[in-house]
Amino acid sequence: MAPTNLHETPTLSLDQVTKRFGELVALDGVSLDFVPGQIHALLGANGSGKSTLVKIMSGVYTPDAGAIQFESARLAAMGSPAEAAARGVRVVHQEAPLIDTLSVTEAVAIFRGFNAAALGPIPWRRLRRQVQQLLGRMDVPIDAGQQCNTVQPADRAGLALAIVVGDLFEKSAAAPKVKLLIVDEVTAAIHESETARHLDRLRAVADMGVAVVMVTHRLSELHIVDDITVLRAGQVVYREAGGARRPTSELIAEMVGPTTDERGRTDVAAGGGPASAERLTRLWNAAPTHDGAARLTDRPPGPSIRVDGLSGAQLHDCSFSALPGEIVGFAGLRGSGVEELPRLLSGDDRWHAGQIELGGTVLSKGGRPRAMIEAGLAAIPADRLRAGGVASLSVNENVILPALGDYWHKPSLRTQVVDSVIKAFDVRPAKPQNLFSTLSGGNQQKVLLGKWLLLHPSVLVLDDPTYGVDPGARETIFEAVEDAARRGVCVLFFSTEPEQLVRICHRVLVLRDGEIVTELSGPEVALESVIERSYE
Amino acid sequence: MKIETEPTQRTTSAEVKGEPRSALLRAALAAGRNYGTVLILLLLVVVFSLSSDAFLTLRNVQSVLIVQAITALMTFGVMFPLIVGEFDLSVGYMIGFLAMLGAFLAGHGSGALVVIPVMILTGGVIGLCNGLLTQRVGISSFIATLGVGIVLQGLTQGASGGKVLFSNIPTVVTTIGGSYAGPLAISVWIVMGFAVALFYVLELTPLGRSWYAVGGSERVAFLAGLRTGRLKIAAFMISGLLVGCGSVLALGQSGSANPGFGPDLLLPAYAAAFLGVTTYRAGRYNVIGSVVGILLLAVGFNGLSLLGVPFWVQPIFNGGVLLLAVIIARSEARKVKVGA
Repeated sequence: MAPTNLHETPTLSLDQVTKRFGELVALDGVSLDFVPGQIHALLGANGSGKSTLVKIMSGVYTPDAGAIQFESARLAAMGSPAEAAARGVRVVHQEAPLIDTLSVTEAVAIFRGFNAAALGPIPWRRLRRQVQQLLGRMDVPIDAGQQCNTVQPADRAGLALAIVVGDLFEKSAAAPKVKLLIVDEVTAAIHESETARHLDRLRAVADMGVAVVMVTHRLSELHIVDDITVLRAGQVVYREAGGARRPTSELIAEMVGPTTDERGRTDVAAGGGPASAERLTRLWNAAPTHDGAARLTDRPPGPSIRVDGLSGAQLHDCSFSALPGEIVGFAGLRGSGVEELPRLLSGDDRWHAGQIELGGTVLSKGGRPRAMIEAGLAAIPADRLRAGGVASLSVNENVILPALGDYWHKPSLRTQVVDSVIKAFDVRPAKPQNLFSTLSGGNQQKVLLGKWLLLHPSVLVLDDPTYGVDPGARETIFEAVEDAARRGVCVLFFSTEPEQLVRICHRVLVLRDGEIVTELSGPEVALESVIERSYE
Repeated sequence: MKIETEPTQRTTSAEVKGEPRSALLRAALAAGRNYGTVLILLLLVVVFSLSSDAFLTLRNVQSVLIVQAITALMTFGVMFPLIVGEFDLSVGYMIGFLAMLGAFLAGHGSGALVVIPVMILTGGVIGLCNGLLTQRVGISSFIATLGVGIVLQGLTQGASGGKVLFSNIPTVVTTIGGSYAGPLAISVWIVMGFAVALFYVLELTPLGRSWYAVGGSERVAFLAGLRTGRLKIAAFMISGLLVGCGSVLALGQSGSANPGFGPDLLLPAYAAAFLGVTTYRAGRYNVIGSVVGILLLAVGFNGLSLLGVPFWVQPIFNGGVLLLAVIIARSEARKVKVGA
């Protein structure tokens, strides 16, 4: 039952493909056709199964059930990435596979061969001419001799594409054929105004008889595609083959599904009871008094944080403020500044212009983490293992790291405080001497939450705090964040998953192209509106 | 997505209690992992005692220890940059230079009150240079300290004029280097004092924890508000000060400064520090482990010479022990990336 393009044989057909990871069903009986000469867009929110689908088509994963029809062959799986490549499947990933210290010619030759005869020297001049020719055909306006780190993001995407589909231009019969091209969110790193050229390249590849699969978050790109498939929770929920387009808002509605946000809200309301709220009191009573804590109690009236005209690499002129006890969410796509803002707030990166005011302290030049912490701001970064905790130190040592001096020669206080963190956030296993790296993602995050809440900050910045965290730990984290807010901590919550923002935030600010474009508050904080404002 | 973690956790006594059936086995395994080097050391002592009458005599033990005093301070010296994730390759040239500097000053009429502080403090200043070059100028420590070391070698040659300097070395210096106080040499007592002090700083003070945090993840430490740059520079300075103290012992023990002295001490110091990672606090550079590492290499050297093995067996033994110890504790070693 192939509903699309009956007039042409698909290059690849998925027939009731299912893939499970433990109890999680990533793909649930998905059937899809990919037709030569057509661009097929795959849409879906995070966790909808898009990347699993891509990995099955490129031979990384083997489906648990179902079959794959590739041209005339019926297969249980694509085998391996090498086997899939041999059949003509090519994948372009988000990050262009370029080695910054090499020239463009060398970077291309690493993948496409140096064309040297056995034991002969590399024919550099000929190679460079060939690479330049390839770049010309793919409309990538760069010089084959230039160093890779000087290539702009928009051209990097073009270069990555040229490397992958270069075989299309090989005239010899022995050259491998390109049948199916998968592009995985490659436009995410490109500024919106520069994507048109790249989409034209994809169209040119499709016109050469290749079936193109495009995974994207940018709904504004859909005007160039032929087919659209929307995935939700591992299932195909919407499919469109050519013809008239449905309005963007309806596509979003398909991605979101029926009112999951309402359900989420009641869950949280039930979880954050008074019993759990006491744990923070106990924690703060156990910990030695801090500048941040003092600031919280004798705080001047007004917002906990006021950000004025902040500009960085992605952000420009970003202003907002937040009150004590408020949970403010930040939404946006990759490249919108939603990754950069928390790094500026934590002092990890410096900002170029603007200032941040924290409870009376004005920071006008890019603050170092130390200055931000002293002003009462604690930040939990997105990269738990590299920026969050020291993997080679124990839980105990990680918890007290920002305030080592407080626990010098007070081993019993230290034991008491670390134990209260472990109890308050239900860290498992409850062994302070265990190495941080041996904990699961969820428990690592609980330890980090304890590490920073222990300082009694007036502002808590959370960058994607539930990434790679199991559902149980996720609830604990949400509860703790709501407790902290009830106690007057101002929480800034960054997430690439809008579902989480609408669950917990009082207000959501949406970033696009480095600017805050919308503020949603009260009843406006709904999944549809957050997604609609971020995409587009 | 679950983040994969290596099963590198140490078996703790609590866990051993939790599973009585295999308690003995697990305890033995844990001991083997954390104290394998100690076991090898004890084994060597027993073997050499049985095979050579001269081995377990007071005289021999005294000489083994006094010879290792300088290596020990060098090992402590290289340990600090290693803890914060850096290398100091200048220490070998540095000790040669500082010893030569001391002899040069003494030869030009300076007394012990000038010579000793100048040697030690100059070591600290060289360490500061290493630290500034890596942290403020931003050169990789491997290259920066190698460059500083080569410059120092040139200065050593210049100060010596190509000759061994031995005139007018202060008696205080030679006494510190060669005399005994009770059963042990003064220099051995000094090393033991340093071992205790450094153990205290590294294991029990916020400064020590900060250094380990910086070595574990400089970014996390930075985000936790630690002054990571200063901490690293301080580690290099301590390295220099310790090498400065080592140079006083070296000048005192030999009573002269040889322009060729120094570079040969670099590799034994690193070997001992790497061996140390396999002991006591497995996976971390630590004082107790380093002391065990030094003793292991020293006992091996001494015992083999007493047995009269050919001279070329020595380096083979040293290298073999280092590799073996790291392989035994390889899960720990992988974490710290010994020698990477």
